[in-house]
Amino acid sequence: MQNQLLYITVIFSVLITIIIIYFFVSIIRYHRKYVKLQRERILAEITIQENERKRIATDLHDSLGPLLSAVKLNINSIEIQPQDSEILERAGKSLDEIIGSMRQISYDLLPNTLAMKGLTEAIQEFISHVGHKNGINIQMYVVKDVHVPKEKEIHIFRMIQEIIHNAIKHAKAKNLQIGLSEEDRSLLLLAKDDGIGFDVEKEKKKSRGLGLKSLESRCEILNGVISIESRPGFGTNFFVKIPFD
Amino acid sequence: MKPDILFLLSQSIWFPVVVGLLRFKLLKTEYLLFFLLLVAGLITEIISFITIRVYHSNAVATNIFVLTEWLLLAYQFNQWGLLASRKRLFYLLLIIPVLIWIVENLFLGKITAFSPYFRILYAFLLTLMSITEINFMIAYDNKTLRRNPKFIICIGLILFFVYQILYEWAYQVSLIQEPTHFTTLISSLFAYINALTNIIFGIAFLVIPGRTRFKLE
Repeated sequence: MQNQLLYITVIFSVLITIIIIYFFVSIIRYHRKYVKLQRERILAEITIQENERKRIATDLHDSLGPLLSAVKLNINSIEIQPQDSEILERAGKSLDEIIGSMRQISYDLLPNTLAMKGLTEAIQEFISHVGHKNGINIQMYVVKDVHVPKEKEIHIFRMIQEIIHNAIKHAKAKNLQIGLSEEDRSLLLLAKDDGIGFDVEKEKKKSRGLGLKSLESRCEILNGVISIESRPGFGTNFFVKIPFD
Repeated sequence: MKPDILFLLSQSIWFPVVVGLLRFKLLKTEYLLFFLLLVAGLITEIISFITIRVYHSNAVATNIFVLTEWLLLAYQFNQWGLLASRKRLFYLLLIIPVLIWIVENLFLGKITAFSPYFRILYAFLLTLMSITEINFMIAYDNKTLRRNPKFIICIGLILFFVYQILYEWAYQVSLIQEPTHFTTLISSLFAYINALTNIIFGIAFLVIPGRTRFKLE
């Protein structure tokens, strides 16, 4: 009788245990699915954003650019009276500024070099572009040639852009070193600046840290890992590893 | 426990049935099977009341009701999307307890007694189904869960069926040895748990959102 009692109790305990275990297993399973879904949503949002940028950049470059150049050409071909020459000269200069700004906007939206010559060239071009303008010494080392899949290039480029902007705008760095390498079918990116640094945890909690969030989001959709090391007064180090597959 | 209190507690089934009738238009698309189950529960309570007085047992009515309960709830979960894409697995899961019910009640001739194997198995399966549904809602649902009728119903089902497993244990133990204070307490609390879940189901029907009307003017 005691044995029968024991068996019944054991069977019922097992059933209750299975229910509890199933609860946790099921919640973990659904959490994984949820994370995957979130990643897909972020990827979709970023892809839409990038496509929109590409469209605007192409429109600016291919439609507005030639139009403005044609206007300038027409102005230059006008036979001018001496009293109007100053006005036309000013109009010409304004047109040059508009064309220059438009090219800059188009470049910021999507650099042509990325599509034509690849990631490394695009980064180098961007570095020389911002380095001169902002008085920061940026050095880039490509330790080993990287062969990033085309669809991932834009995200890695944006991440590097964000790191450089962060060094200029927030860290007020004088020097920034960027190292790129490839290891086990993964891209390794190391960036180190000598800026004012910041408290990483504090900044992540603030809703203002959009730059860091954008870096993390892009890294997440690429199934990569990012580690940020920084302390106030000691500069910032970024380590990023992104698998190609 | 006094029979009057037991009777009063069993009448708590009227609450979700009345709320369901009042909100029938809103619940008929997604919760019809569950509502039918509550109506079946009410009918069983009435039949049980009569058969206990006449035959001193409500085993036959209860045994038929538990089978109906399993079928309606399993189909209700399926309608909510559980195993919707794995029809074979669903039917397999559906048929196994039914076969056990047939063997236990018809071949072994226990329809006039309470069938423990089926009752334990279907309570166990429905608890797992409710857990799956709740976890799915936690992960995917953007609406507030405490105002989600499905979530409230699943909470009620988990509470009821986990307690039913515990009740079956107490019942089986009391068949082997003299009922202890503990097993008697578990058995007597079942009526309160039943009343509590009926209130939960009524609340679930109350929070079904009204229709959104769009007007083009």
